[in-house]
Amino acid sequence: MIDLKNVNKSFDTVHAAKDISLHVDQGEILCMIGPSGSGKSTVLRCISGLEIPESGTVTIEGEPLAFDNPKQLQKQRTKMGFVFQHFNLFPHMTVLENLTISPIQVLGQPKEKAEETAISLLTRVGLADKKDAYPSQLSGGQKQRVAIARSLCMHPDVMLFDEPTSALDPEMVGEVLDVMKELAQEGMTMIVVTHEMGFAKEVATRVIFLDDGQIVEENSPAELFGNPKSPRLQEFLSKVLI
Amino acid sequence: MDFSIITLDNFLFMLRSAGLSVLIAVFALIGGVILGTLGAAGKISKNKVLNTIATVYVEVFRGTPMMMQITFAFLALPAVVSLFAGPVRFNPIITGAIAIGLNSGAYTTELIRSGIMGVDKGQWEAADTLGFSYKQKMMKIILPQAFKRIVPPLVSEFITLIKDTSLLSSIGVVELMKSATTIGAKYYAYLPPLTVASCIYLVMTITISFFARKLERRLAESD
Ligand SMILES: Nc1ncnc2c1ncn2[C@@H]1O[C@H](COP(=O)(O)OP(=O)(O)O)[C@@H](O)[C@H]1O
Ligand SMILES: [Mg+2]
Repeated sequence: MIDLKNVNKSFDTVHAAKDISLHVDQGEILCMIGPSGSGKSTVLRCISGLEIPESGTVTIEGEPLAFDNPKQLQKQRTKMGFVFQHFNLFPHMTVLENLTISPIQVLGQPKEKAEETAISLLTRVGLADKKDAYPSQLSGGQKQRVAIARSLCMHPDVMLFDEPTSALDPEMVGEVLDVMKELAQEGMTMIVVTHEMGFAKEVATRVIFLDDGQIVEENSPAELFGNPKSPRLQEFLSKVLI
Repeated sequence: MDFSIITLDNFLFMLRSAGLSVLIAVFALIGGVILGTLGAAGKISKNKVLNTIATVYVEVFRGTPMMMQITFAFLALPAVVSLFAGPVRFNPIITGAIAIGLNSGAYTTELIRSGIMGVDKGQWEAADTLGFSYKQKMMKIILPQAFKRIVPPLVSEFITLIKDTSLLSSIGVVELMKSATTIGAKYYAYLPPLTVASCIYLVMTITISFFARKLERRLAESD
């Protein structure tokens, strides 16, 4: 479903993604772990088209991302939901408007239909009663659940998460992870950058360890956490709480 | 200081002139916002030609004295137009308003540009990942948020413009400043009318500031 071939991305002097090749099948839950600055976000952002790789190709559902064709790129992006660490809800819109604006504007859905979908998704993440609130009136955990629902309104084929719980107070991490687990159970294809090793162990079908812009190790969660092979992964795991 | 020379007639004359100052400032502000919007669009644009035009415009008008620009407009505009349309005489009020509007547009370009660029990067990216076109992103997400950042400095710009209209006294526009010096010349006493004119400027600018603060608070509330 998603295929990266020899993707390279640099910022000034930093080679943030080095020759990354990666394949994700439909229904997979891929977790990306690694130290801060190892290039996890860069890889995820290349998949979503937020960063343009210098070389290599990103293919989604058999089509390479069309960086030189804005119309086509736009269409390809609607297949991928992206959840940010800092939510990035639209502050000038209510929760309901945050959810309906893209289906209405981008997919051309009638307002009634978009609102119907939005309400049912808000109910799913337990926030139907907040539909008329503004983002500033929500807690971090609520904001992130709204952000997930906003992405789901576009009926994406894959959901990309960039440290969705890293900006949250500890007591709110659980409610967001629960929503993500539910999504996983429903068969959503997911790529998740996370520091929640427990989540990766429990939910991932495959885990990738990145360090210094490279994929160092890639395995099932049982193998990767139970039997880490490279010294760098061993060192990393010894430092994080599991 | 003898304020008896500020008779009712003289005072009304100054008030009328103050009205002209405000009128010119409003015209310049509207022109400046239109030019500033175009300029900001040019500056943000990836199109090299538009970008260069906008940059040159901003640098020229911010990098030379406004007094120079007004004098230039007064002498050059009629000369240029008469090349095509035969001899013309330009109304100094209109010439002055155009000159100040052009100048204001350069500052407003920067003001609008920084208002737009100041919208959090995450907002642009969220719109991108949701599949918005550039136009949808600007109209629905970025500009509504930029607007709140642009309005307060735009009000300051309006206050600056009211004060700047005094420069038009140099090309014979009878705005507030000129009305004061005219009265002063008549009675050989400049300080009383200049003092009164200063007070009128202050009343105008303080009133605008007052409403600006109210507006700012209202804009901040909806965040
Ligand atoms: N926009 C950027 N400008 C400059 N350097 C960047 C930018 N984004 C990422 N980097 C650099 O690229 C490297 C990888 O960053 P990132 O992908 O964000 O790592 P991670 O998500 O694993 O913490 C880091 O060294 C970071 O400083
Ligand atoms: Mg990151």
